Amino acid sequence: MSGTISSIQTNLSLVGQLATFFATSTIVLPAIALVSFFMLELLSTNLLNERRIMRYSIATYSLSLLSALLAVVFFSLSPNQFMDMHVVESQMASVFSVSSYHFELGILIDHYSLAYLSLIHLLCLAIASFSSRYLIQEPNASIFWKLLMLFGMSLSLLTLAHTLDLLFVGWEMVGISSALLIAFYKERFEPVKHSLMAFSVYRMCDIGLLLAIVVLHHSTHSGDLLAYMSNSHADHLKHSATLLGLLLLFASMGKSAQYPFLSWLPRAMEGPTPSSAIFYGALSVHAGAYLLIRTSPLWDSSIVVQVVMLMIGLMTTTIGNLSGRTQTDVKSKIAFGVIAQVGLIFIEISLGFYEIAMFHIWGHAVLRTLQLLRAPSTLDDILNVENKLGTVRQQNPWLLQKILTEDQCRVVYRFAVERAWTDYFAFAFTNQIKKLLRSLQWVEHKMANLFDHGPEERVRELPEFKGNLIDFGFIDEASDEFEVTSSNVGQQVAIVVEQIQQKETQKPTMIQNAKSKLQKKIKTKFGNKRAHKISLSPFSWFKHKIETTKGDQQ
Amino acid sequence: MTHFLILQLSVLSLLPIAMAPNRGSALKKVSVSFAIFHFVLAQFLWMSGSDLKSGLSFLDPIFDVNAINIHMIPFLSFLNMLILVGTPARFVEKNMMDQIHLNGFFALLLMTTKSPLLLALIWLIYPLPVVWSLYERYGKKQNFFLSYQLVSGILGAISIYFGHMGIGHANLLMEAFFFIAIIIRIGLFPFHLWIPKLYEKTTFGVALSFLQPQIATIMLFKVVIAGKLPTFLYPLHILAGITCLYAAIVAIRQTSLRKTFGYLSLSYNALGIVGIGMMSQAIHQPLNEYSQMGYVGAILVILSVGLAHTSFGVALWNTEARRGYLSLDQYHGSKTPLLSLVVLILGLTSIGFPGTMAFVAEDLVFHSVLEDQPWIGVMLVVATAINGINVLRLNYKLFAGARREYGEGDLNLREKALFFTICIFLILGGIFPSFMVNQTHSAVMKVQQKHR
Repeated sequence: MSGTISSIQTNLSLVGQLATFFATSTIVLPAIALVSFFMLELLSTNLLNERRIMRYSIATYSLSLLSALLAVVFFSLSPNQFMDMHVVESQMASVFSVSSYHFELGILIDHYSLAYLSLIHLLCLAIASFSSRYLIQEPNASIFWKLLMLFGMSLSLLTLAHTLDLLFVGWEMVGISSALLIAFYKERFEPVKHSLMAFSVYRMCDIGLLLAIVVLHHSTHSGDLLAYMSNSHADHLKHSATLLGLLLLFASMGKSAQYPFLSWLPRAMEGPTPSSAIFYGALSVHAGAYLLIRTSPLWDSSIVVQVVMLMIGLMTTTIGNLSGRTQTDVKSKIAFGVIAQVGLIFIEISLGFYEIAMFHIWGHAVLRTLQLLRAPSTLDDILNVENKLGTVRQQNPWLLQKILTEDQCRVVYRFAVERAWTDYFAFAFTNQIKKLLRSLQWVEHKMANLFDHGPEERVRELPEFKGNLIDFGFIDEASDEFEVTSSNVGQQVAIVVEQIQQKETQKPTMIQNAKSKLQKKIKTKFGNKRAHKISLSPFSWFKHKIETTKGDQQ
Repeated sequence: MTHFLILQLSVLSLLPIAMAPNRGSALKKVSVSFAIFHFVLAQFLWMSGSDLKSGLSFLDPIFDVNAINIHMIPFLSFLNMLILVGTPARFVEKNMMDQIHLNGFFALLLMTTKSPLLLALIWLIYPLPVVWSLYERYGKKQNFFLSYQLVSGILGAISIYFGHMGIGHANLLMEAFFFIAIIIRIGLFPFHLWIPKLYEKTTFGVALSFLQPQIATIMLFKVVIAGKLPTFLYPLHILAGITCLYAAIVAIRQTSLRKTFGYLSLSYNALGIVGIGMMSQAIHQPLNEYSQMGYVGAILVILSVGLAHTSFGVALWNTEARRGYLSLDQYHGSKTPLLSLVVLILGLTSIGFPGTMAFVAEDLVFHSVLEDQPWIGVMLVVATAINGINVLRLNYKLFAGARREYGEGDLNLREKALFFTICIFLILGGIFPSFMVNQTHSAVMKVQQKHR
């Protein structure tokens, strides 16, 4: 069977080759643009300003969309390649091989991959042209454009990959580009925290995909998706279908924000609106569903996988729908709407309706992109509508409100507003992990100090606090380092000094609290003798400062 | 010819210690020039191949160049050059430069020597440059490092001289001695604590030049491929798996930049050992398919992760040079987009992000280990996932948050040239890895056939 496949691959018809060429261009074009951006930035030339990056990006995505459409045209003209399946596979090169393990570069084109590919480049172009106005003169806008290029390239790779190994490369790159875009506004720590949260969920769920790849190689010694689509490994896969399916489902649950991993998605809306639209409304969030469709030949013989997928889809849809109705801001409402719809797509996939799921992905992605792009203007839109109607719009009560009693409604409302306690469970779990880590750290610290009776480590001076530390008597001006305390205490001292300086005209009790806290810390760390030594110089300085301030105030 | 070149390389490692001026930019220029010349010579040695006959017969009992360490010599030389070029201007001190050169010298000798006496001696004195560095800072109170290194040095020297490499035959006691010596020096759980502490206590450059070439791992490799550690290879395999995961988990809670880096290094050093441990299934028979993958993966981990991790360390050192001691319990803010980008790329390459050179190495190790020891394989996969989070967290802590006035500048020309060259090399190596993989594979097969 594999012999037949390879003979077909080498004898691609001209239209097949053209389809392959244009499909590959959708990966190569953004890659070239991305590399050019970095090279030009590295050379610090004046060729690269925000406006130019913007134009190149739009041009790149226009060409990519054209390539994707041409690939669709040539693919539809190409004859059936393999039995009754209309697919084009092209193995381009072997990246590396050791013994019988090969990592190959190639693409697999079928109606699913082309549908998703054209969707990717259509929406990327739409987002790029929207952002060219929306993000103009935004600080660091060039980062947005570069990440958009990386995203387009990675998602095209994910879509067209002919092996699971290659798909994993695209999968990971989509993850990092989306995490970095959530933290686009780096100055605020909330987006950064949410980005880290999203990336953590991604990474944990990626374990599923990586393990699935290894299990697949173990079972069949191949990662080629076409071989599975043609059922040529059906016998080998009989025993591992359930395990493989569950691992792939786990991987896609993270990327598609399915229960219980749904709490990162509303938080991910911290990024700029265009990135929210393309990542969490349109493309990235559907990557999990696409993975399941793509790999369906691997697991669709397992009823366990289908049932679990159905249950997860049902739970996610229910929670997403209910929670979405209790949200008070537009982006969160849309985020839960997305979660609910992707849950429905999971249900469709579990029931084997892959074509319907693909249509659903298309329609849903386009609708959410529009909704998210209009999200900043929602109030304006509503006011416009109301202005034209001449009345204030009345909200209809929920259907549930009509059916359920008031007490039951309250329970449902609580369930919805708490997002089925997913956050609560996630934080409880994280807290347990943190506790465990704290204990580990404590043990590590004690064990590390068993043999270490030397002085506490010297710490490099902190430039911003240097002035304080000189005043403090910890270092003299000529010194680069100070030796008195450990890193943490030294830094805390400096921070407290800064706080006291800022608040010295405010509440003396706060200063007193800060002082006693610090003294306690130093005592625990160094014992009484050292604490006394330290306290002499700095606190006499505080005292002096406080007295001076009081005198000034009087 | 080959051995003569090694002798030249060794002398060249020591020359800057004698010749470099005491301070100023001239010191760095001389050190870097010697390091570059050293690397060029090492490249010449690599190109000349291991089959060349020695021109000087008296060197034959001392040096041994085989298909594997012929690749390692330019790698070692490059790491040393990288650390010296990357040394921030404000840290350039004569003693520190000397310590880095000495580390390079000992590493080269330990890798290429076959004389048991010399090997045992170098194993014993290999930590001396670090002891010197610590002595400068703390005087005689540096127990944490000395106590570990003395135990490892003495047990290792005894086992090397009387056991595996030397005059006697490998027996259980000597194996046990070597096992203890190696797990201490590699820093496997529970003897790992000195490594993060060393990163924190000594100069970053000295710690990097001592730990990143992973000489202990290469030493282990020498012993294992000769089939001389049969009893303890499996426990080593397990300990490495545990260390890989444990270090990744502990790194999450660290608030010190250097300790976090130390734990990340530990995690990835352990990954290489897991690959070497794959040999346990095939001691007295030809390597099976998965052992080959594990072995090739292990060497690639040493090379690619070693290079990426050292560069990552040097980038962090340069960040520290701009801002002073950095703690990860707060966001530091950034006005240095290029430095931030470099730290991110190097961090991701060092954890084996897809599309980079280390990914290939990790992929091979994962496939081989999951086939043979699934639970250890799962531990490795989880550790890698956690390390990805660690790297992004580290990057955010250093470069995100409200902007602070450190008065720092972005990358200068030297740093740009250095870091971007390495980034490009690591990424291109990930896209076109076949040359490196094929070379390593054939080297493993050659050396394995020689020993069996």
